Amino acid sequence: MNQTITIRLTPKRERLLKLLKKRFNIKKNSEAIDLALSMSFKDDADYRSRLEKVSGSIRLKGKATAVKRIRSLRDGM
Amino acid sequence: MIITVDSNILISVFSKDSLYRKSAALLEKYCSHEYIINDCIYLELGIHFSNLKALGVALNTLEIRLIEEYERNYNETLNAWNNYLKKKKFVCPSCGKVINPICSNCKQRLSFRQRILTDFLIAGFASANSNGIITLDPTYYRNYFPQLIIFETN
Repeated sequence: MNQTITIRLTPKRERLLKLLKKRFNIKKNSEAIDLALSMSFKDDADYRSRLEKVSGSIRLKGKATAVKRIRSLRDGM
Repeated sequence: MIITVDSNILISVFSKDSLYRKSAALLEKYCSHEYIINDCIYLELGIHFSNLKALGVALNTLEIRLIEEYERNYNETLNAWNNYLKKKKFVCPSCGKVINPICSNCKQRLSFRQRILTDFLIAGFASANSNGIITLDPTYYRNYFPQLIIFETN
């Protein structure tokens, strides 16, 4: 079942909504909001996959953490 | 917003250590902003890679930019470092106990390097060139650069 929410259309929101509808040739506000939400989520997912891609590219000795490793470098120990 | 990323965050991600989830969450949270590092951070990362090309690829993947020419606020950095030197105590890096090491032979007080300039250079860079820093080790930044914003996961 669909739920309805009411949001205040502030001048800033109105301007951004108009820009989005114009840029993507969308007529309905609801479609513009759907698009904005999915785009923002897609960015997060994309960045998460980038983090995964670079993770494990180096190895620290033993069970050292990055904090201890950098601390020992900076303290010259 | 421009955000400085401290070495420990990136080493944690690159090595996927036990702090990975926190580091990745921080980077992910602010990923719509611009991430930068300076030469100190770059070199601290560089020694963990077999070559700098591999590091460059990893930094590009995360859209983290090395700033080679940047504004240096020497006054702020020196004031903070001076403040640290005045308060400096010898602390065991393992248990945190404050100690006064003395040579058992000549009874001379011993000194060893703790907290060299890197922390202050990085904090000074972050303060002058970005809106704040993300780090896993914020204590000294908070103590000696109280105006520097430290971005958190919450």
